[in-house]
Order: sequence, then structure tokens, then C-alpha cells
Amino acid sequence: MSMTALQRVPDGPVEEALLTAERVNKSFGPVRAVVDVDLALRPGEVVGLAGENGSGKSTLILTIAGMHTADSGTVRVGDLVLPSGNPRAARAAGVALVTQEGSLHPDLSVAENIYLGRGHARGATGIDWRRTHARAGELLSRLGLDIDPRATVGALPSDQRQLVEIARAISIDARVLLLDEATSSLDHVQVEHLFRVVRRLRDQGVAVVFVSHRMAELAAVCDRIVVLRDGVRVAEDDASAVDERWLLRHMVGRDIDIPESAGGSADGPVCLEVRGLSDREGRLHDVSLSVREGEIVALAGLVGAGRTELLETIAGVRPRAHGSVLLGGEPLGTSPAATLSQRVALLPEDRKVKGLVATMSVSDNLLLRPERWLRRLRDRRAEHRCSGDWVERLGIRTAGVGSVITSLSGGNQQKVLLARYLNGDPRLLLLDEPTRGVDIGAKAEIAETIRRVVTSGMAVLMASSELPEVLSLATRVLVMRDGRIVAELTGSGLTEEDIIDHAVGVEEEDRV
Amino acid sequence: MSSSTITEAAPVAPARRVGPRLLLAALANPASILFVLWMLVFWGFAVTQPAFLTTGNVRNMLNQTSILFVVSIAATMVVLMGSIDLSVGGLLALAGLLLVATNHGLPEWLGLVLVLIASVTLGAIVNGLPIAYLRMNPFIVTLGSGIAFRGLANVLTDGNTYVLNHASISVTLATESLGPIPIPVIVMGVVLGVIYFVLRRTYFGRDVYAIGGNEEAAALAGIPVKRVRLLVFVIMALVVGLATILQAGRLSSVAPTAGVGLEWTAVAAVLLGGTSVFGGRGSVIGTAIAVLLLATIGNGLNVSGVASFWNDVVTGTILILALFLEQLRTRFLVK
Repeated sequence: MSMTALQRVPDGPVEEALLTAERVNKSFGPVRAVVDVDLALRPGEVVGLAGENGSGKSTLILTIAGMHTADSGTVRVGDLVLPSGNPRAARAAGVALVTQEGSLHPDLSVAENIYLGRGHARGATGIDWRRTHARAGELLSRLGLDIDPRATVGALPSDQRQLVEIARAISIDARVLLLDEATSSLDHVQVEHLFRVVRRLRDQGVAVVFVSHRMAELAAVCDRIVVLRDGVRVAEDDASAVDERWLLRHMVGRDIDIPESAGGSADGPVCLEVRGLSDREGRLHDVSLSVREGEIVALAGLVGAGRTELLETIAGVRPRAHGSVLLGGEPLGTSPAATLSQRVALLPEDRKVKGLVATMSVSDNLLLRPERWLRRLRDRRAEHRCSGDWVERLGIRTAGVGSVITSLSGGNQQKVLLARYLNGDPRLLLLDEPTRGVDIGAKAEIAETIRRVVTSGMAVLMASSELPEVLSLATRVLVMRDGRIVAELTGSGLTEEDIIDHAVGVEEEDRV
Repeated sequence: MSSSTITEAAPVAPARRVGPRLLLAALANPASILFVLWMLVFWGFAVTQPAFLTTGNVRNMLNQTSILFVVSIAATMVVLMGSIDLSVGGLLALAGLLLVATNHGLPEWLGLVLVLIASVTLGAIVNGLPIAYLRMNPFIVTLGSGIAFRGLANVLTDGNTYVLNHASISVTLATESLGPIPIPVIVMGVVLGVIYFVLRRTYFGRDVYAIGGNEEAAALAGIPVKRVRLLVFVIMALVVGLATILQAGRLSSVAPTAGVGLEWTAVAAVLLGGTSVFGGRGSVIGTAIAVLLLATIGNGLNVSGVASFWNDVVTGTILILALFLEQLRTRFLVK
């Protein structure tokens, strides 16, 4: 954490504010998560709340929504002062919250979820489902959504689930909508859907707080951007007046370099060669590609295009149906243990589920790899030395390598995971969304690490939804759609639009 | 972690030093409350019951608890791996029946070796292989195998108890002393020491923790999950074999009713000792203290003249009480 003095930026007097938070403070033990923050929302306004992980964004809006009890400060809706720590009262005043984690029940229908525990139409013998469905349908169409209220939530794609969350939240006749990292699991097209809904609500006079750390999203949908750092409100400006550099500077507290040139080179010998690869579940169709030593190849595409499946199939996590995978001309094994022993490492997409062991320490997570049980005993001091080296090399911020992994921020957890796979000195590094859910400082550091490792001849194949990252890192971009590689893009003039066009299939007719 | 609300700021707190206040520092360890509780209970009985703190009684208490002790220590490993073994009692009864052959001319040492071999074989084939390689649910597999083992023991004996005529080795192991130290205590110490060492100092032990903490992540990191699972069930069965010998020696007999409910008491002791029911977190030290606490209470109530039926009431209550205390501890100390 940078310890430059944090200048608190007070909110100016706001005419006719719908919701006003004044000098809100919230601490968790010794950590001051939110410090003297003011926030005022006008009706029909979208305010972007930006900040790194741990800057207090979520804490602030959870406090406003009554999910946390504030240590001091007041939250008013109109003239009504909300009792702190009372989510019911906040809801009753029209403050709706959509959290990061998602609160929908996958086995219930859309209407059942929207009216779970409240608000459904009552009939003579309990719930009147026909009217409940009709009411849900009205609500969904108010948001401009074409979703069947009878559909089971678990069967919906992730973006529609997110929109149902919003529908559920505003079903209380919300005047204020708080969205916590609502876009983190959506792709570009899905984000557009979400924005359409947000703009619609804005036009209906709802005040929206949109928590994010992506400049492009903040610029696309917000009127005003407020930046928090270490719990303090450090900057505010009109969304139209600011750029990425402004955002980064205030979020991180120092200037961050955004490298312009792509990493890697395309002159090395071929490291990975995939020919006609299909999987058994029909998620991949006849995929062929190659990655040279020292090259960074990016896989772009929408959610569900098959990027994760491709990486997992190469790494032996998922079974192959047809095709061959060669590493330096040798066939690659078909189990995670086999490919690992051939020095192929996969950094999984979901670090909590597939990567880290939450109960173990930083050091144990970093050094988690197969060891011969009988060859040698554990030597804690040597382990801590080794993991300490990696902590230093990748700039992992931790109280010590013996601390439990969950005490680290998301970005630092991701660096630990990256260190685990780099520690095996891989020939081929497969990265699945290497910077998802990672703050900007760590993002830049991870990108820098990837650039550095390819100079020693490692080959990198990475899937990423962060197009700026793809453009700035990759030597070559492969665009996937419906389990196929539909385009190979190179060149310095490449833009995000080029990639998105191929990913959604705009130019289908031109190519045929 | 599980119950805390989602916040951004809270997890970044650096690990805090409790400072030189020893008591607080000690309380930061989950096993500590249990240890304090054990000391209090022990002290309470020692003060109020003159018959409690005598060499003979303490020795008897330790001998009596040795079977539960070794089984619970091994069961800790199973629970740490995120698994469970409910076949312990049935396996103990079934494997013990081999010793009947010693009444018909089989040398006792060979009988004891056969008990260990049979126990390991059954544990590996009936529990370990299906759980590890067919990914069958350990709760169901061991519930079923435990019921079947005991049923088979009943079938083979027709419900009868067999007195062992040549049980000098097992009787020695289960009841005699080496100098001032009862041999069962030595056995307890060896089992505790070996499994503690395996969990703390070997990569196999590390793998057990990793699988219990996040099996999918462990598998993707290349940890041989199947082999670890099989081996843990083999070790469990080996220790059950040892417990079978101690049990036979204690009573100089084998019976199809031996070890009824042993698996549940062992799991209770493991959980009481602070091992997470979901696996990945815990230690054999906690289990050891938990077993000693339960033994002290059982024995203390006994010498106080309380009907032994009360034992289970107290065991169950303490299990829930310990969970409650642990919540208080995490709420007020760790925060």
C-alpha cells in the first residue's frame, strides 16, 4: 500500500439529493475500511465508484444498504435518516443492492427468485402464481428484458442471471440501485446488455451507484466517477473529463506505466502444436494452433466460446476426443499430473475453486506440487526461503509466507498462484484469465511478469477477456467462437473492435 | 472465514501479534481452550474425589482409553482429508475373530499379524479402493461396510463371545507396564508421534491437508489424490488392527459386539479436538487432548458413583459446548 497522505475530497452541496451519505466511517478491527466518506446521489444519475480491491468500495455500499453497521456518519434518503445496520429499513426506503456474489437460487424460477420471501401475489390458497408471473413479467419488461419469468435461474446464461439479480433488487420499487462489481463475470456483449438496463433505470429517475475498476465501463455508463483509496474518497470528476491515467493515478496513488508494445517474439521454434483438437463434450471443434517459444498468444472470445475448455483440454484436465497435442514435437500427456511433469502449467480461471487451498499458508500454496513422499522430508526453513524468494521476485504483499493465503488481497493471491506454476520452470504456460478480479497495481505487475518470462524462451498461451491486456501483451491473437478458432489477428494496428467483431461473428458473411 | 460477510477491506489486515500476554497468545490456539477445560475437569475430580488421583485409577483410565485414542488419532487423518470412516467398530469386531484360531493351535504372534493383515486388506479393498478410485462417497461406503463387517462377525460367531486361552502377548500389550509406564500409553505415544510426524514432516501429510482443503485444486496441482486417499484408509485400517489387538488383550476375549459405536466417539473426539468437519484444518494434538478429556470425564464420573450411562450424555454435550466456545473464541480473540 502506498502511504502517501490521503487528501479527503469532500462532496460539494448537492441540490435535491436522493440519497446522501455523510462522513461515513467503518472499521474492521484495526482496518479502517471506510474513512469519513461523503456521497450524494441525484435522481437519474449514475455514479461510478472506483478503487482497487480493498479500497472500501464494497464496504461503503454495503454500509449504505444497511448490511454493515457504520461506526459513525449518517445515510439519508430524502429527509429520512436510515438506521445503521438495518437492511430492511434501507430496502423500505428504496435502496436496492446487488452484490458481487450473487444471491439467486439456481433451482427456482425467475419469478420465484424475484419475489422470494416477499411481494408475491396472494391468492385464496396461498401464492397466486399466475399473478406473480405476470407481475414478474411486467418488471422484466420495464427493464427491457426478454426473460421468461417461469425459466429456471440455473439454466440462464450468466449475464441474464445478473440482470435477474437487478430485477429482483429493484422489485422493491427502488429509487437507488447499488451495483457491486456487476460486470466482473460478464463479457463485452453481456456488459452492453447490463448497461442498457442501467441507462433505462436512470432515465426512469433511479440513482445508480456502479462499482467497478474498469475505466472503459465507468466511462461508458457513468455521469460522475468517485475514487476511493484506502477507504478515503480521494478524487471525483465528471466521467467525460477523465481518462484511464487519471483513474489509475488516483486508485493506486502513483503513476502507472501502461506499456504500448506487445511482448514476446515470434522467431522461436514451435513449442506447442495442436492439430484438429476436439473434446468429448462438444465444446471444442477441430482446433488447430501453434505457439512458438518466446511467444505470447492470446485467446479472445465471448464467455462460452471455448477458451477455458481449450486450455483445460491441452493441459489434460478435460479429456480429448480427437486430434493431437504436441510439445516440442513430443505427444503431450492426458492428465494434469502428466502434463505438469512435461513442464506444462495451467493457471486456472477460478483461483478459489481450482487454484488455491484456502486452508493453507502462502508458502504451502506456492510450493504445492507433486513430491516423492519417501525421497525427502519437509524442511520448513528451506520452504520458507524458497517461497520468500518468489514473494520478493513478484512483489507479493503479505505479512509473511506463513500467513494463511486468504489474508492476501485477490491480486496477491493470484501472484502466489502464478509463482507456483513459474516455480516448476514450465516450457509452456497456459493462463486462463490471469488478471481477473485483480487490482490494477497487481494487474500491471502480472503483465510485466508474463513479459519477462517469455524472454527466457517460455511459450505463453493465455485466455483473457480484458481486451486492453490482450492488445498490450499478445504477439498474436486467436479469436474463438462456438468452440472454433475463427480468426488469427496480428499487427500493431489491431483494435478492440477488430477482436469483438470476430468474436460475435459480425463479418461472417464477408468471410464465407 | 465461512460466516463473515463479504467485505473488501477486512482480509488485508496483517497477521496481528497478540503481544507478550501469554494467556491471550495461548488462547489464540484452538486446542488451548480444550486443554484448559481438561485441566479444570482433571483438577475438579482430583480435589473432590479421593479415589480419582491414584496411580491405579489413572493407569486404568489410560489403559481403558487407549483403544479410542489410537483410533481417533488415525481418524483425524481421515477427517483432515475431508473424508470419514464409519466402519471402524465393525472392522474391529470382525478382524478380532481371527484370534479365535489361537485357541485351536495357531501361534498367538501369527494370529496378531493376521489381524493386522486382515484389517488392512479389508480397509483397502472394501473402503479405500472404492472411495479413492471409484470416487464413491466415503460416508456411504464406510457406513455400509461397517454394518456389513459387524453383521459378518455376528454370522461367524452366532453372536457368541470367545474367551482367548492363549493371549499372553495381547494381554501384555493392553494391560502391563514397562517400569512405571503402562504399555498402552507407550502404544498411544507411538501412534500419536508417528501420525503427527507424517502429517507435519512428510509431503504425504502435506498432500492430505491439501486434499482436505481443496480437492480439485490439489488434483490440478498434480497431487496424486487417489493414492493419498487409498493410503489414508490403509493407515486407518492398520491402526484399527492395532486397536483390535488392544481390545482383545484388555478383555482376553473377542466378541461380535466389540467396539460398538467406536467410530462415532472417534469422530466426536476428532471434531472436539478442533479438526474441521470439512477437512483441511486441524491437528492430532487437538484430538489427543479431546480423547483425554473424554476419558477423564468418563472415569471421574465413574469413581464419583454416577451411572455410566451418563457418559454419552456428557460427551455429546461437551461436543456442542466446545463448538460454542470455539465460536466465542474466534469472535472475540481472532477479530
